[in-house]
Amino acid sequence: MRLFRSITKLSDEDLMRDIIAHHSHPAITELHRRYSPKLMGYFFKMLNKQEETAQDFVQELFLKILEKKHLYDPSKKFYTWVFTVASNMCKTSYRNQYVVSYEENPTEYGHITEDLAEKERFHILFEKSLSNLEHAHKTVFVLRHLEHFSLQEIADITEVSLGTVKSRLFYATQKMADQLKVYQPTGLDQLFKHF
Amino acid sequence: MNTSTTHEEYIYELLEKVAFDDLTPDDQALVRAQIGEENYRLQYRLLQETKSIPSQTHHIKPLVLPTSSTRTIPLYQAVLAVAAVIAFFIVIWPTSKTSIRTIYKEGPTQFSTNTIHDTIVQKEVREKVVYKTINNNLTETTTEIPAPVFVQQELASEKIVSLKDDPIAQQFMAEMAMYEGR
Repeated sequence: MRLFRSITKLSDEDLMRDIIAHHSHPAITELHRRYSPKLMGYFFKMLNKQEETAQDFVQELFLKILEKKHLYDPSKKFYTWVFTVASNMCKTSYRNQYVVSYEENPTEYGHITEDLAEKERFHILFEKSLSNLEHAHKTVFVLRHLEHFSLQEIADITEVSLGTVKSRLFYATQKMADQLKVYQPTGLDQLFKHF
Repeated sequence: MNTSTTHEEYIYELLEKVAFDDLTPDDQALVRAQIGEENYRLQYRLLQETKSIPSQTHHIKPLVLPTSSTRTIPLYQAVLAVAAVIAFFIVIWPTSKTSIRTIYKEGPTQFSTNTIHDTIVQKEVREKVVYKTINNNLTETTTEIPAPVFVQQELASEKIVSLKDDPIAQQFMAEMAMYEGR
């Protein structure tokens, strides 16, 4: 119990030091407890809502942390490093075409016609627009607007300059808006009027 | 950085924070020139509405860690370990120190025997001494060195044995006498 308390009080970086020095399973389990919900959400969005695949990615990510622990620099934030690893995993799966394209669920759209509120309609159209973005644009958009990272953190995670992050966000937003216009030809005012 | 890229970055910063109606006249002019008022309003609303999307909760599987105690060693550590072992052997390997084992071996001995009257003169000469040198049990060199002069002189000294004192010679002489008497 005493050991458990001490582990929960340690910072992420101290836990990583423990993993590097002792291959500590309690430390990696604690990091999993802290970050798996957020990482699960990120993978879920990036992998086009494939929940089981997202769960596998979370598992694989923490095993990867154990294997590649020597690559972590304890002077840097664990938070951004773990999302860098996650982002690279998504990039690799995108290159290998592991990510299945977003498919319309007929059941969902059947509900859209009359039953679903406009808010839910927006959410579905939003998901579809997001899934059609280029991988680099989708990554920055998800990190910024759904995972709420700062611009500098996104630059660190994606390993590009701050200017590139802003530029990608600009184009991602533009494409999302264009696609929403296509899905909702009558105008977004109607789509947004319930918000 | 070119101007259009700078404008994109700047307009994105505005999009995140400021509605079109709240922009300064200069910024409104810039937005109209770059992306148009309608597009700006649309994108601004999109970003605002995105904030309303609730975060979903997901089932999280417990972390399954490998049970085996085998730990993988990073490649660089393996290379360092091999280099350390090689360096260790280089340090301890004897380069100048040679242990020499010398085997003294008597060379073939020649005997010359002359019979003078009743005396057998036996001369024993050692021709050479053979030294075998073995270095670290790996290489073997054979060197033949003649015995020193004083040894040769000593060894070459005649050994005179009187026939009268030698029972074998006595027997030999008796047999010769019997043979000649026949």
